[in-house]
Amino acid sequence: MPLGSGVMKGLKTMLMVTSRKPATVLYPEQLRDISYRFRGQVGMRRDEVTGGMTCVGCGLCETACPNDVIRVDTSENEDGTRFVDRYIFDVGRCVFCYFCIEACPVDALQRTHDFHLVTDDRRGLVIDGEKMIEIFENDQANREVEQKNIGPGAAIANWFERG
Amino acid sequence: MSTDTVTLTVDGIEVQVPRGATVLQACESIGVEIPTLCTDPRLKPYGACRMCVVEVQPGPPRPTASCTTPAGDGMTVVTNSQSIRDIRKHVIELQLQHHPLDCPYCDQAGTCELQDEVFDQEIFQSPYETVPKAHPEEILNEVILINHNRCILCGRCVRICDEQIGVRALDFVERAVGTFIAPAQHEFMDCERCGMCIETCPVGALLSRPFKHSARSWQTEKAASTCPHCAVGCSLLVESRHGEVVRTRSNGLEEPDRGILCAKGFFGHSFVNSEDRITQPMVRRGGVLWPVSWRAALDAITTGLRDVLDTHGPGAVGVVGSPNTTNEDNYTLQRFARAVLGTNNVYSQDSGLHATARTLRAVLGSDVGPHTQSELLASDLILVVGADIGQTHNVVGAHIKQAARDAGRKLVVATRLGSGLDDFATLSARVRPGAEAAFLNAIASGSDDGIDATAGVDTESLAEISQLVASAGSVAVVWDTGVWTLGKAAKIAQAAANLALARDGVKLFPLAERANSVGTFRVGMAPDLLPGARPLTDADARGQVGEAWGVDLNGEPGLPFNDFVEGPMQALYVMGEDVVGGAANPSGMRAALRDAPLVIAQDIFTNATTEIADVVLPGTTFAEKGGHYTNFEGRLGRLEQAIPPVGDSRPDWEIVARIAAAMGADFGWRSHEPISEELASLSMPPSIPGSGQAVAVNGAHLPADDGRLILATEQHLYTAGVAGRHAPSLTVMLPDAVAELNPADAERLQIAHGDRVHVASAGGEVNLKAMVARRVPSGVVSLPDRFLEAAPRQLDPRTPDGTAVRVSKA
Repeated sequence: MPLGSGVMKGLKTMLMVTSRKPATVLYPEQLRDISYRFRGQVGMRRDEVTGGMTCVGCGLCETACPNDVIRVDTSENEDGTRFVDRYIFDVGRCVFCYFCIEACPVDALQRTHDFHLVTDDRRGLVIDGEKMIEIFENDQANREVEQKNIGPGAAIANWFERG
Repeated sequence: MSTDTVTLTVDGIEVQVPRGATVLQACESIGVEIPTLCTDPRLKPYGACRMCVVEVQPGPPRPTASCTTPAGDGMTVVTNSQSIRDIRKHVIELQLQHHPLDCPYCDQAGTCELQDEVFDQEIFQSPYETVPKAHPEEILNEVILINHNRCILCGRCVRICDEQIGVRALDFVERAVGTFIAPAQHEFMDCERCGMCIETCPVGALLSRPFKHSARSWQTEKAASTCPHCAVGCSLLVESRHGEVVRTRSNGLEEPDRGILCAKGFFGHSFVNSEDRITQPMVRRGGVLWPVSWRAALDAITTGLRDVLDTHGPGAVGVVGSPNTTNEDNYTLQRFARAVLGTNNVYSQDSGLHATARTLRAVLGSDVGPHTQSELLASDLILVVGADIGQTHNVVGAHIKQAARDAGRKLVVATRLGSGLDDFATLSARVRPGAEAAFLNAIASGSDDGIDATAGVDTESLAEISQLVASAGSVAVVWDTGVWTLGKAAKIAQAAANLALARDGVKLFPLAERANSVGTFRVGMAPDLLPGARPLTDADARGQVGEAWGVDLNGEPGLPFNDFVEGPMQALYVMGEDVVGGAANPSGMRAALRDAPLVIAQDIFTNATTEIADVVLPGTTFAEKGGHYTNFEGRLGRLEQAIPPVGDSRPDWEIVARIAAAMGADFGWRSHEPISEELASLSMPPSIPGSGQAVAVNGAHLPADDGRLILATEQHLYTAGVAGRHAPSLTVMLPDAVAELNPADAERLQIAHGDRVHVASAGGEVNLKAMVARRVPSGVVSLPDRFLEAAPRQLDPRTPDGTAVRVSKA
């Protein structure tokens, strides 16, 4: 190998890398495109009738969760039905296994593509049902992309129409 | 072949069962599981659901319900053929035609027997068109509601209310497809609120309103504990979630409760997580209680106690234990007092049970027990005297009703007021308040000389009762030793002992008022007793206990409580008791405690004593600690910790042990188990020969016939002391405090139902609503016990029950 070829090789590599687009982006000013299959934060569907959480407070997500992420506190509503006082989701403990989504009998819990989980305080990782609805509704665009890509099977089932 | 057993073949396995057992029991005895919906081990076979069908040969050529078929010799039973499986599946599919699949909402999900069957039978969809019934949820009373849609009409609620509780509040209404469960007599279900219909319901039809929608059954942590509300000591399953007790249920079919509970057991747990709980140690500075740290509280106590001990000696210090706390708590307090403080001024406040136990021990040689409830229920004749057992000790009352009806026991009810037991009694008579002892004495002596004047029982009934008692093979005498026996407990016990001495086969069952009343006696919470209720004057016992504690015990008994309070008291440590509110003379007691330099009150709720205490310590309830209660039979009921102590509170024994450690005597206990062991090793029952002497007892004199009425203090089923007042689920069902009058008296005094009346005695007066009730005999006025607004003690501090009071329209 002639003397100096290593320097040339190094120079070539350097030039190649400097001309390439960077792998990192300046979050949060810039965002990367994500796959429509991305597994993000668990969201909650808004109930069309009451305008609140779709959750009926059955506690199956709490039972299915392997990591003690979810806590559902319920009480009796004025009309005698089960009422969800508090829905607490501790994102800091979540491993995104989505067992809760599988367990939900009314499809209240939904997968989203949201990954904006940054906070400056660990307490900020404990979110409630309203915040989960917000996350789900802000994910509309990604969901449309997803539905286009993976077909009608992924459409959200309507519990009330299913009977 | 023996005639006591039958041999049959179940699925090819030979099985031997006692004659009279059902095919279902035979199958279960070898572990062959047969699905059932209408079967409850507490109930008689009924055969409503047809889930338990089996093929029986020889027999009719059709499936037979195994729960109602008696096992016969040589039977061949097939439990799992294809046709049987088809029938069972079909039964469930038909049930699902009407049963809504709202399991996510339903409180029963997880413990629902129908849900389990659907799962086992692998039914994913009903082949029939589902026609949900469209009944709304119906509220039956303050604590029970029914969801008709979910009801499968198995009849378990109807039967348990009839067979076990003897109330018959529920029944089937309408017919065929329109059948539903409803209160039998009125729209409102005015029953004993025992909750057993909820407990037995296999689906989510009958529901507890306090529990409704608060937790799912699989999320709760379960702890096997003992009910803290009365001396029956029913076993409870305490269910908690996130450190909060959400419900209590019956736990197992063992004695003493045999699988049933009363309103206090089923609904009376909500005081545990009450917001009124004392959760922090507090020290009084400048007349106000300030929350402080444990260290500061312990410092205040040790300095205070040392000051008093140095200047006045150990005789100026006293401790008061409580029948609301466990044996371990009381034992620790006693050891602290006798071994560390060196005083024998050890007290507990249940005067009724202590007086009864002392009298029985002096006469018969045994205090309470050694008879068990099963002996009570096996007696030929059960004699209930005084207060209504159905109100004071509801579960024992329910068992007595059942024994009277199903087991053919004779039941004689000689209570002061009419009671629910009357319907089941061979003979029921009324005893005048204040003459219960004279009545028992008359039966014991077999003469009715002058008894019509004192006992208030008409001579004919008395002769009949004496006759029944004389002719019965074995007799159980049952009486409550609650507040109504204040001042006369010893007399009643003596009269009962007279009866036991007069003839063979008499067993006495004094029912203690509170959960651990017997325990405080057996642990020795009295100035002259040691653990095991051995006398302090017994040098051997003293030596043994002193050796275990590593001290020389002072052999001189402490002063009686009132003498101590009026005399040398400089410091008092009260654990789990309201000595002021429960005193015979509250104002005098309050003044005495105010004068004392150091009063330490350790309790779960504020009361009249904590109001004047210098240091208040947060104790714990039954759900937050381990230990034992001793019930009315002397049986130990185990407590298991269900939740961590609320706030900064600590188990009572631990607080006392910490104070002892701070004063230089570390007992070395880190859990309650070593205390239980130490207590058991020291609890040798003393062998005290009873005097065996019958002493005739007279009744109180009948007051002059001047229009005054005799006061009967009655405890209501839903009252459960201070704890009960802080349990919202109990207070909602508590009726207003009323003065109950006989219709004839009401007419004579021109008092109508609902009027406000003055009830006045020499000691004071109360103003409350009148209720005209036939259950009150003429000449008697009944006031409830332990209502804040109308405590009979407030009326007449000395001997409230049986005294004459003037009733007039307000």
